[in-house]
Amino acid sequence: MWRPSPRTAGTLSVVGALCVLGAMIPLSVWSAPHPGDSYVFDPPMFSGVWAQRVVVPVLTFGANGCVLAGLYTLYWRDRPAMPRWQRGIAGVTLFGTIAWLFGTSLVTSAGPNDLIGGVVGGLVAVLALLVTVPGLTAWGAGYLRAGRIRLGAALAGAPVLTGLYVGVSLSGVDFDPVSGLLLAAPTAVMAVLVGYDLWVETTPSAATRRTES
Amino acid sequence: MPEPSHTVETTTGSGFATLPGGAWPSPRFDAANTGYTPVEPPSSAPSIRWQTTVPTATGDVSVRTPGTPIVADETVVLTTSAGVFALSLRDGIERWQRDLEPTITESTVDYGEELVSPVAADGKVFCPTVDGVVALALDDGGVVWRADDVTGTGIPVPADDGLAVPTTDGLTMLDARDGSQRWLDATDARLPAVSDGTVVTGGEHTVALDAATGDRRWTAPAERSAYPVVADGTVYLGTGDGLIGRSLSDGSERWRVDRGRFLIPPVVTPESVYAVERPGEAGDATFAFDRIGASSLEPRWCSAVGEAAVTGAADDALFAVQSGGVVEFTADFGDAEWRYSPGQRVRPPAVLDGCVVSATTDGTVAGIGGE
Repeated sequence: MWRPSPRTAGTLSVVGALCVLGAMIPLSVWSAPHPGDSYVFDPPMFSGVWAQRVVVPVLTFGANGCVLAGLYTLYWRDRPAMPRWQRGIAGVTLFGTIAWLFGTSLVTSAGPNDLIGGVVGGLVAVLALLVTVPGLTAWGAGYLRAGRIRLGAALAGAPVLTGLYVGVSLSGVDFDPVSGLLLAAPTAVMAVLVGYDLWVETTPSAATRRTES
Repeated sequence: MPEPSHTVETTTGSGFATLPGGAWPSPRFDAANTGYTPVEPPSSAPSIRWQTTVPTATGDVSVRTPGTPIVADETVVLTTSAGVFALSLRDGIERWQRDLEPTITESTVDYGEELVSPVAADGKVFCPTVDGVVALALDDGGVVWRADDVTGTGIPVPADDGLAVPTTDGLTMLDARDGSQRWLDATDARLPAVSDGTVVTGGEHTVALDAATGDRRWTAPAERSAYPVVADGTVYLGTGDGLIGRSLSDGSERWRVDRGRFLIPPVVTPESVYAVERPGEAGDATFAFDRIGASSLEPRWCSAVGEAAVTGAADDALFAVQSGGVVEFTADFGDAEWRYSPGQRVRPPAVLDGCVVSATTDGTVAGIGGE
């Protein structure tokens, strides 16, 4: 099966981090009109409505794809050195990440009248999260047990910090207008750290050596 | 549903320190029924400058919905089931009242019926009553003339020195100076439009008449509409088969927006057309269209507004009457700026320079001004 080289995947992962953050930039920083009370049929370029319809879906799709490429390459690079349980969890997590990519793609590509596409995509994305969030945490825990602090903190920390943020938000704390950026920040940091690790640890032997040590 | 960034508070001020400019002399602003006035309405954080309640009949009356308020010569005039009332635009204090019984007509913005709205022109207020059409002096309410031989059924429209009046016998043109009848045509009309020497009526058939002689110029195929709007040589019709544009000169169809039912006539500005689509299976949607010459319309934005009607527009703003109040939208991209929710159904507001005059079905009239 074709796989990108670790350095290529590392670069893609960092690009994915930038896309994650770019997709969450407050739409209010774009020019008028901003998403609001009415549906604008032909929004001006570089307006908030235009960004919501053109830029955000592209960045979201790109972010998911790039982060997935990083995790996929990380899995194949370190697979030989993983214990059986970690290998299984990492595989399921990758499956969940692919499902997340599929679900969010359905949601972002569904038009205003495509109710079925939006609902199905949303359901797939939620189910994928139920797999991916604990999966990443466990995958990262495996790295922490093996002394791979950077990767372990990245993979396990992203869902934990994201969950913490969601919990604080649900308790009533309002982070607008940077709530989206704060929500995406742990994932972006994870993608950067995974990309860095793939860049500096290009060979399976190097990664394996650390894991086994 | 739009969420306006500001809701008009119910606290009442002591009136306008500076009298608002402009006028809204008929329910659709002008004789062509465009609903557009080139003024700047209150756009940010408006408040109630004055509020008053005009009497309504306490007995057994079939229709209590007041007519749409109009404003001319610093005076607010409206009809209720208790008569015709004139209020000061500055502070809402009653200037005069006449114990008349306005006729009943089909609603201009909704299903059902309402009391006919007055219109103002040349210092007079014209009001169809059950006893004939009456012209009152705007300054003191004195009767200038009374046409006892016609029974009005709709809202009259001033036409130069004439007055086009829907009656039980058809559409008639009265002399606005003395009430004498000039001509009569047996056509159905609720609120005719007058533009470029032509009177256009809605109803089952759209009919164009010579304003001077009453001669028929053209009759369009059957397409029921409430009433026509005329702008720049085009007749705009809201029908069950869509929004239709016809040439004022010969009645030929210029364009048709057939995406749904547009039962309420549109508001037409120099650049835009605002209309409410009433799908039936879903809530109403307000559409803003760009006018592309005289040949077509291009949708610019739309907004879900529930059961509503766009009743007026000014520079950079338009007004939609919803079941619970009035909402001001920005014209360019349809952002809801503010809402006035008095707790009663609201009549279409009169839009002035820096001011909106609104009346509710229970006779509460409010002058709303900006900061």
